[in-house]
Amino acid sequence: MSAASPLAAQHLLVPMDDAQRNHLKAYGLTYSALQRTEKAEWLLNYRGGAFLLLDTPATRRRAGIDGVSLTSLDVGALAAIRTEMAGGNFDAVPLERAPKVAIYSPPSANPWDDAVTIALDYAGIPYTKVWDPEVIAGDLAKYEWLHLHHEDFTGQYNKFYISYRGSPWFINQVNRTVAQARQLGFNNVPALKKAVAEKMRAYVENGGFLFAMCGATETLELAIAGANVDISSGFADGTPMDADADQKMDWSRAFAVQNAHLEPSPLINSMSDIDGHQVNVPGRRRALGTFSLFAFSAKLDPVPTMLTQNHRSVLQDYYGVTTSFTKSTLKPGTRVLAYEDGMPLAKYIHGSYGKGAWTFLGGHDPEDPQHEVGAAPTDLSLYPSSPGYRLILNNVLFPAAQKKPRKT
Amino acid sequence: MLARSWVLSASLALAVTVPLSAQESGTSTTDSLVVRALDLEDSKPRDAAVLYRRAFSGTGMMPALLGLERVYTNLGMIDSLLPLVRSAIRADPRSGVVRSVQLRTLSVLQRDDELTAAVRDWVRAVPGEAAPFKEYARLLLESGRSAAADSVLTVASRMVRDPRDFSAELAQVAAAQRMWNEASRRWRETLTQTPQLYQAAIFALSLATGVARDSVRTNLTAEPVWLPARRVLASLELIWSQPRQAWLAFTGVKADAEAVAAWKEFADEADARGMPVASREAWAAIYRKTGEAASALRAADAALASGDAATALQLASAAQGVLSAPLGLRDAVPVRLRSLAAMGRAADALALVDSVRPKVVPAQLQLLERDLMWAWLRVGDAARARPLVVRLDEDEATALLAIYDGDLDKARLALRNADASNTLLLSPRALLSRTTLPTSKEIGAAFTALARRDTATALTQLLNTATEIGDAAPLVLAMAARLLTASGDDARAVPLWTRIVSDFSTSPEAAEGDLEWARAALRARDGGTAIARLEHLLLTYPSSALAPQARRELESARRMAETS
Repeated sequence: MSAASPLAAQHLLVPMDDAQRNHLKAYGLTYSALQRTEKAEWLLNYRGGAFLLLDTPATRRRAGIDGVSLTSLDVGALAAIRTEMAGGNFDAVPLERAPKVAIYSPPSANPWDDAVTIALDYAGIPYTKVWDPEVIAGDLAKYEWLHLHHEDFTGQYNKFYISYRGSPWFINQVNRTVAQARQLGFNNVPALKKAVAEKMRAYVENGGFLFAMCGATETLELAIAGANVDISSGFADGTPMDADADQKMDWSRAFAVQNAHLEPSPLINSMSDIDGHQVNVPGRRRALGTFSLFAFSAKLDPVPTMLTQNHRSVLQDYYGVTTSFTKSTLKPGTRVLAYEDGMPLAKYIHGSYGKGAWTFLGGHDPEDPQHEVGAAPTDLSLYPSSPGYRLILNNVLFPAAQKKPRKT
Repeated sequence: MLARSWVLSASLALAVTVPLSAQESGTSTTDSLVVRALDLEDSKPRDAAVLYRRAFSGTGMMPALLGLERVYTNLGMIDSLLPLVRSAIRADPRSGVVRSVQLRTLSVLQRDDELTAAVRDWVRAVPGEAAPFKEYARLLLESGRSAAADSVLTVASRMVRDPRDFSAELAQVAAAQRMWNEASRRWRETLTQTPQLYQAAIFALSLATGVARDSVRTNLTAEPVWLPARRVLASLELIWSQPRQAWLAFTGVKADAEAVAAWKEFADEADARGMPVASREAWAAIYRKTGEAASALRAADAALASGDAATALQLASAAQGVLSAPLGLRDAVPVRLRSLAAMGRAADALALVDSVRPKVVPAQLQLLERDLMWAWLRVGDAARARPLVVRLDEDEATALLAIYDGDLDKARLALRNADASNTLLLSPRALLSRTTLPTSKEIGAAFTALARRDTATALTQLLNTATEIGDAAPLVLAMAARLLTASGDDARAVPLWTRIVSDFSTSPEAAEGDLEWARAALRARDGGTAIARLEHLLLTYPSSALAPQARRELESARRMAETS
């Protein structure tokens, strides 16, 4: 065991294997302990990625209210755990502070929901919503963790105009976004979204943690790599996509992807070949299967180990505007955290960039495999042990971990 | 689960195929071998195998092959089938049955390469036909490889004459992949060609959960209105425990003979599932369409079971108008009487019994008087009930009457052998289990007042009792508080809930006290108090059955506190 020194007081173990009654609230419990500046540890690979907290009245109280399972540990019991962990693929990572969380989300309601917002609300982890004006004004520097979900950073409204151009919510969204772009001094929405994407790229480069899901992953990469290329169809900016856009993309600036190919047709609901499932293109769509989490060495690779802590290793897949990542488009340094079983696709990827790090998780809602526009949001009280939602919450606590040099 | 449905369909096919073959060939030696083998399959499978082998060499190759597949599977020697299959394929390369046996056998043996080669060989033998792909996709689905099945069918759709042949398989694949929108759309298409598969559609779609069910509903109720799709949805709603939605699935369906047949089938299904709300609506609709008294009576029974006594009375009266006088007396009057009793119209019940008293035999009269006795007991009229209770001597009735009299010891005695399911006795039983008092006029008066719906008197008597009833005090206080809460009198209810929580904190009612106190606070827009009470409940009674509900309401209370 490398990092943690034994804490002096009595402790509480928050098991994260099948003995836990509410896995998702356990993250909120740990976050709240960090908010109170109490020391905590993340016991990687031990009992599903258990947490070790100080035995305080506040922690016990919150655990009782939230229905989180706890086990009291005296000094002897804790020593036995540490001895067991020293001999296997385990590690204890100190968690030091509650990261300040920002969610990039429009102020208006959309007819879809955001799995991260749902997860944080349910777990009781506070966050601040930011949108284009705040990002352009440079507010991202105030936060340690930024989440993106369904946004289309190519400025093409996820190409929903193909199916929803007559829907009031879509018309409102277009009008609102166009007005916002003008207000912020941009000629069109793609220009605004590229500027926002660039701010986010710089945020990570300067040490921020970025977590993206669904369509935000793919379009952020396209917007960054295509910063100086017209990659949007005429619907969005009044001019067709540059016919040579593919050749002009600068993938060296992107986080995860290289050599991807843009979808040139404005009438095909796909952005590029980064997404392996192409859910909205009937002829190309791949069926859902399962995806498997990689097992990493806790001592040698603590960061990927943290991000993949779970009580399940094989999970039911779920669609999103971007569901998965074609492996052939990933940069060599990209860490695949989960792969689609039997397919050349990654589901969950991670990497470092400058002083910061990013994580992409494909799909929209881990508990709603074919989430559709207008569908009701998932009620997580019905899925308190959702293994898919755990992946999201792993990312929230990851910036809380004490930084230590990677051993590989 | 999915695999089981395919196995089931295969077994049905066998069950039909084999006896028919035997019947058609009459007394031929080969067929008698098959029949003898069939008899021996369970008891002497090795002897059956010998007979099937002999039959295989004769004219009964097909049933023998299928029999051998079953027997060899049970004997764990399915690989012995392959040489016979190859021989059969040489004899008839286009035989779908033989090819299917080959594929199943190779699949069981997990010889994937040979399986793929066998599929290709079959495709070459029957170019443009869907059968090889269907069978292969089915096997892949059975083994849980839905993505592979999807790929096979996608490729096959471009190779066959009519891609619609795959509609059922594609629907199965979509369901296996939990793509409920596509699955329900495809099942609807499938049913237009093969309506007999509607049970398979119900089974496949029943596994949809949560909001995914909405897309199933949308597809099955899409225009144009189509009875088979609505029938499937109605069954699904029953399986999903949504009886009201189940009947609404038929909304817009033209009420013709076909619809009536579907309604009857649905009503029987609802009855079998114990869902009288759905059954009531269906039988009532059938009655309106056909005018059949039997349907009206089924509707009335279901209405009574669902707690809708007024509708039951109406339907039973209508049925009596249609039936002959003797049948009306026998079938409709008891339902009318039970309806009146359930509605608390004991005087009308008495009038009904008096009106038929001269026309019925003693045994029938005794049954009617039993219902009349419960009518009086239900409204708390001990004086009118007493002679009937004494004469009919039923434990449950005796116990309830004793409770009204305040004779708790007598009630205990009668309840020893009483039917525990009688809902009128739930509260008395709970009370008696918590007190050792032999008698209590106040308790008798309280229960009598409750039966008479005299809330004010009941409250007074319950509160008077609370001080002298020992361990049952929190139960009595909770009964009083529930009455006040139900009538919207939070100002008087909250002090009682408070008293239960503070003075009887270890009682079974304490968690309920916290929850109701919190709810009253929420109604008063006092989020702080609500949060405090719910947190107290969760921390003090963590294993209470109310804890999950308290956690949900705590979220609401927090939102309220934030917004205010």
